[in-house]
Amino acid sequence: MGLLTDPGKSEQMAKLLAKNYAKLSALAYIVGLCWTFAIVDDHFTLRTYFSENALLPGLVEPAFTSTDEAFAKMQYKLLIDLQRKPDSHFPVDFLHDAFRKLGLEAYVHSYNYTLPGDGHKHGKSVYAILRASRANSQESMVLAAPYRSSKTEKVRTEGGIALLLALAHQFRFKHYWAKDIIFLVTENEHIGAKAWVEAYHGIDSSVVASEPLKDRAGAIQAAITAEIPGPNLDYVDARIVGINGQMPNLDLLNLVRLLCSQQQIPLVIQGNSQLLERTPQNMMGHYLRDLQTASAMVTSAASGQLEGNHGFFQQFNIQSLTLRGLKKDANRNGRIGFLDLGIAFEGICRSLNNLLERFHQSFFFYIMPATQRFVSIGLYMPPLGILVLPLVLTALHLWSKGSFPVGEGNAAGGSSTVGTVLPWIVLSHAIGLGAFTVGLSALSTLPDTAAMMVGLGATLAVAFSTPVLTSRFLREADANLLHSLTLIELAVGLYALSMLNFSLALIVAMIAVPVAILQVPTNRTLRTLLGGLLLVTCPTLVMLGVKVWEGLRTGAVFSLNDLDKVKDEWLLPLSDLFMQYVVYGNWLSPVLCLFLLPVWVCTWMVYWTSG
Amino acid sequence: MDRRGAVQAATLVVMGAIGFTLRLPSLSPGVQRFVEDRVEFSVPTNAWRRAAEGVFLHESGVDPYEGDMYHETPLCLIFLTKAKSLGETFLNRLFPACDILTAICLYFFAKNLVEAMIIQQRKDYASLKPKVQLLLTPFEDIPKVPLAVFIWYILNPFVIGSCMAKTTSVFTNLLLAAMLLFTSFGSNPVARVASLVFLALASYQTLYLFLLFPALHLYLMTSVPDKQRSRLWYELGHLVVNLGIFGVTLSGLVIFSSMIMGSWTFLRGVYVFAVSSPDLTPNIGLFWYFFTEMFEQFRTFFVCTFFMNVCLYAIPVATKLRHDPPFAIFVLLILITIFKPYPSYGDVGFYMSLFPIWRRLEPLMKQTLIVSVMLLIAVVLFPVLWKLWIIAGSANSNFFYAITLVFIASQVFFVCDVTLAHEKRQWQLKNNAETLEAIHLD
Repeated sequence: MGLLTDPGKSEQMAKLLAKNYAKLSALAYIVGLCWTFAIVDDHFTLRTYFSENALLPGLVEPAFTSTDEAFAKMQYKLLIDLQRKPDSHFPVDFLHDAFRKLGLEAYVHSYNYTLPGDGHKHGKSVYAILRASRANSQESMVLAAPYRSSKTEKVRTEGGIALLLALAHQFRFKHYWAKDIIFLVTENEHIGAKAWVEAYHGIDSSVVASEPLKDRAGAIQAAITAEIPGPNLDYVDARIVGINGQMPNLDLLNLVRLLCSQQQIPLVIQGNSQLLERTPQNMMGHYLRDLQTASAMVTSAASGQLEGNHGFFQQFNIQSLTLRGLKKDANRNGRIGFLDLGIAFEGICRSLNNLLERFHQSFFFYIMPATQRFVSIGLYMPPLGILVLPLVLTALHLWSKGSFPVGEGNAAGGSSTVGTVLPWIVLSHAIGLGAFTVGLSALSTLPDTAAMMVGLGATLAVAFSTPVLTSRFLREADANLLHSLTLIELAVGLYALSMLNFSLALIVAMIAVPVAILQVPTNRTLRTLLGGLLLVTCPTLVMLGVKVWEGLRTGAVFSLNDLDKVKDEWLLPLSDLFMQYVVYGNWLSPVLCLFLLPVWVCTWMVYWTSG
Repeated sequence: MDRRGAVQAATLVVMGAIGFTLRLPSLSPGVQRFVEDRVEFSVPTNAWRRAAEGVFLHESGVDPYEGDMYHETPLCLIFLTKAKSLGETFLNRLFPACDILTAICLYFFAKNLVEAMIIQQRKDYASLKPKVQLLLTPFEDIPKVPLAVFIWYILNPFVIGSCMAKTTSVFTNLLLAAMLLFTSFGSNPVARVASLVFLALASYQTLYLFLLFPALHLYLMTSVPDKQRSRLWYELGHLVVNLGIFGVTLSGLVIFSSMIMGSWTFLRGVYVFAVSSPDLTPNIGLFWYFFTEMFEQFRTFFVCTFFMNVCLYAIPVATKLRHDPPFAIFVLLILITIFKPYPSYGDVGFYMSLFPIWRRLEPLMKQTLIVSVMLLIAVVLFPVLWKLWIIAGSANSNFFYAITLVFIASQVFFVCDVTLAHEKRQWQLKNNAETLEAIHLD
């Protein structure tokens, strides 16, 4: 055990560290940053490939013919007609009848849901089960489509529902199904999907209360959600990012991509239509396009938000993605119709039908710079590790400064122990917990945003005013130790977070690492500069900034003249974060309040104590 | 009682009350449900759910050891059946009350031990250089250390969680604490017998604790007059008597159990289970992954090897640390926790709260930062990787096992570090040598 027992080694290390830690930290951060940006490049990424041989994609003759296409078109027209009616609503009876007429077991699932600060509401879903002829209902797959009212600004979905009906029409008499196929149409966007998936697995949640399902099929192996507006599309966008940055198994995406390409359906990810064009020949253009796609995926994963209803399936260990049909130009008809889509979907289902085990090969953790290239976990973890390394180095240095004092420092105020700084750490976490509780409880008082505003202001005020306490009670010697412990907490937290949601950890590391490791300089200007930097990186303010920026990008108008509007448009997005936590478990708000805010408060305390 | 004593007593009462409240499941049902499901707290040998199942089977007239669910001892079964019949509220108070009792036992144990340590070192090290004197346990430790032990136990999140999850580790810890307390009373013969009986009870409850016997025997020998200790026959006589008391009590307990149960099936359900570890539910120990990966035909061989590995340390550690048997018990408790098949946070929390007794070693320890950071990482990542593996299905068992290794490694580092620091201190005191390296003591 020479590693642990060699006396004097640690002192040597401490000296070496004290001399070089600043350079090393800077180097590690820069290397980490460069590496992070480099992994998107073609030289570092891998080409996608099938790991699961059982899938056997695209080996069968398509059975989906123009008869089925005609059926889809007819259903589509019926659906559009229903939509056009003045009192149009979710056509439960129509869908139920349609599936029943096809000979499937069709059921209606009704549920009640309560959003915080909102009354009880009621919703319904329609699902139909096609029983497999070759197996005894032990496994199944889901084809789902959300229903959207005619007033929606999102992608219309009648095409998807019609396609589901046409596929049911095509599949029903086939003898080769070994997995039950569930056709599912939900309303109320994500609430509907959540209600159905939870009811299927017999789980109660605080938001949705639903009646038990009338019938079930086997364990769901995969789910495809279709958001197809209608025929005449140009390309399909595969939405893969789920809640908290969870990804489906890469084989599923490979499968979808392969079967789409067989039908010459252009497939993009992250809605990046640049991927449709020819690959830029110049290196820089090529790289920038990949970078843009990858960073879109990273930000989307970091936000933890839903990209589509598939996110709920992923929470139950069901591999799933959403296929969204898009047009390049709203006024021109594309060349992809129900026939191509039908054949592609049929191929996907036939392939999934071959699965012998649930998806377990291939990758679950990856980032995609292009549809056919990916960065796996083994490639993207090292840069993050190096990016976070400065925290560890600085923490070690500050720690050894405390445990090997250089004479006079010790005499000044005695050495500091963990016990002396513990109250401050507890205080900072209490502030974080307070912010979280305030955020959650303010939700139930919405739409009265005043509560949110007061709560937010109060917690921020407390967080900002901690130096009043520290300047009196926190000694400078302790500040070093507090800094060290804060850095350790940040490092450990980031490494843990990187397992849960790599993208969020990466973004936080990029911003927080350089700010957190800086020690308070004696120079006045630099000191003020660091103070400013700290202010800007306060997690709550950063989040507010991001939300405002998002709002500006989507075209919301922020005018200071109209105070009510300001309240609604500036504060609603922030409370939206807490809403997402309550409704579908987006962890961004707990991470923000219970991890980043306390760390920031500690750094803030250190800033005002030392120097 | 002087003023200081009053303050001390008041602190104890207040901390005890806080600890009791923190452990009540009704305080935070969400946390309670969370810890009950965590594999770090509830393992097959101590999970409340299994215990309750056993009680139910017993009450319905089925032998709970016939199945594969119940692994508590028969006396524990009888005790829990009684306790359960007294109602849910009683049960919810019983576990915290036992934990507080454990803390009180540990408090008095620490008090006796520190006093004994100070008397001993006065005797042994009369004239030391001033710098070496800093290594001695000062008088101010007499009030400080027991309080620290008490607080470490009362506010230890591992122990609190373990108590909230209603694991039977709570009772094992109580028996161990009682054993330590009675041992620390010294030459009183009743206390000696009691400590051996409690060791027998603890071993009856958790098999591996019988390994503490050599160290405990040496501990009991410290209070024997020197005259007797120098004679071989006396030494042997003491060993035979101690072993006899321990052995008779333990076998008496086992025979009594078989009489209650009316059969010997419990031996398979409790002790064979504890050795061969057929239940491979993941936990924070080393066994489950190893035995899932291994070919079945090697099983017997490795079961024997693993069992021997645990047992290997008992005598060498006790012999090497014969001048400080309480420390040997401490080291053995850590080693048993590391190498037994079903360790839980309850065991980890127990030995951790004993650490303040040897807090004078802390300046001599080199790896406190590494150990604590590793421990922190492991504790944070256990639930994270569990979620990724079991619920989300995106990670796999290797991820969870890697973190188990980090956790185990941190404990191994800790035990190495603390033993080394202990030996260093001993050497310095013995040789009146100033220091090997610069020591910074407060």
